[in-house]
Amino acid sequence: MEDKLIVVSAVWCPSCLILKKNLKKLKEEYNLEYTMLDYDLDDTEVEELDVGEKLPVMIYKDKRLIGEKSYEEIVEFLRDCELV
Amino acid sequence: MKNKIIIFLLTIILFIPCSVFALSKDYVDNVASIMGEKPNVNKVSLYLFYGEECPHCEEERHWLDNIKEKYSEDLDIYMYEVWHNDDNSAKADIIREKMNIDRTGVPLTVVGNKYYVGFSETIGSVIENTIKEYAVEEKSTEVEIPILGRIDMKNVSIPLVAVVLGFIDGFNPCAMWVLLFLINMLFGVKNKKKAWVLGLTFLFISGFVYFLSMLGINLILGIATVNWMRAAIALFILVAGIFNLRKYLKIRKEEAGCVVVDKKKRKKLATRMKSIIETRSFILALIGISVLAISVNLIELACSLGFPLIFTEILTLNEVSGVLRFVFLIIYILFYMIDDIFVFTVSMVTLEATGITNKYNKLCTLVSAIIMIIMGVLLIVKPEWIMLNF
Repeated sequence: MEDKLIVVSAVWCPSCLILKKNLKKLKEEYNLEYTMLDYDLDDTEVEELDVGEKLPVMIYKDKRLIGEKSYEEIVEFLRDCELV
Repeated sequence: MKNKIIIFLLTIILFIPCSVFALSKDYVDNVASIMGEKPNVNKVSLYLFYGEECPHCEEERHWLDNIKEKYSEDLDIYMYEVWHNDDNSAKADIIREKMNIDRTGVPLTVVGNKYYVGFSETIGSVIENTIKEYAVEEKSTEVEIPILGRIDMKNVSIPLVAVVLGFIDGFNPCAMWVLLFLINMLFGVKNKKKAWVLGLTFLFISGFVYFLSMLGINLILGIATVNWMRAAIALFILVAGIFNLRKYLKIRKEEAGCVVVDKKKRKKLATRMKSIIETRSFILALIGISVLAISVNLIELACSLGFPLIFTEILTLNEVSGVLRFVFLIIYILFYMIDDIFVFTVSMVTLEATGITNKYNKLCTLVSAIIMIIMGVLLIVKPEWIMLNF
């Protein structure tokens, strides 16, 4: 799990829905792989990650991208993680 | 982003009605018919009866030159010499009799129902105020628009205000978490018709609660004609604006995104919603969802009293009453709900939950703060500006 991109989102969070749309695009474009965690359903894992007060959160190793970001910003983060 | 700001500014400009001048209802011309004048009905007429060699008359005539320039759009001045002109003198007597003026001296100034005998700086400023009262106070907001004909700008401005205020008031994507929760649960309902009806009922009742609360505020404000109460409301709006500004300054540097809603609150809501949706009886489910909508929205209302108060004050100051008031309130609510209606409809049609970006939330908070602060200050200092006739 450590070496995989993790995305924490929730059904009630509009910003997460925006991220999901971007992820779909990223999957098509870069064949991006990630694990989706639901803030409510996967609460034990989420608790371990200590994601804080703001959603959505993308986690890769010790890098984190918090909040609603534009497609370009996400790509930049992923480049930084050397995932794309 | 830039486009949004431009649209916002354009909308603000649309608020400013182009008023065409008209006279106050109190204005009556007592002189024109006697003097045989045909004054411009859209202007105030000032009639001066003077004696050629009278020094105060000279002073007033000189003063009137300035006034004429200053109010050239609103005022016509007529002057009659009465010491050497017998005809004018006789007519002046008729006017004195008609208006019950018992002093015979000159200069005699008549504006509407008011008259002034003699002249001094003080009288001058009183005359000027009278002109302003007759002219400026009740400007008609009717404008002539090609094809459409005469349109009262007030009736156009207020719905516009309703649209913009309602939209800004309702725009808070993260506050949509309850609706998104509901949509996700409705996806699991096999009977699509039931899902639609339950969702729409939730939206309708939410809007209705807000509508009723605004009506309530209307009623209370209707009674609150006392000055201190108006001042208190203005102060409340101002404070709400400052709070919003503080909130903006706090979130300005933060990441856009949704703050996690309290876990207990979420769990409670989820259980409640689930039991409502799983209720076999459709009627009971409907009642359940309505009660849920009421309780959720009453809590939210307490947080956003500022805008409903502002809008109600605008309606009151513009003397909008009766059916029109209802219509404007409904327009406000409709735009207050528009983001929710959009999210619900798109999600239900595409069967995929749709969110609205939270990127503009900061901008929205800032705009709300600015509107509240400006309105609060205006309500205290210059309420007449809110009458949408500058």
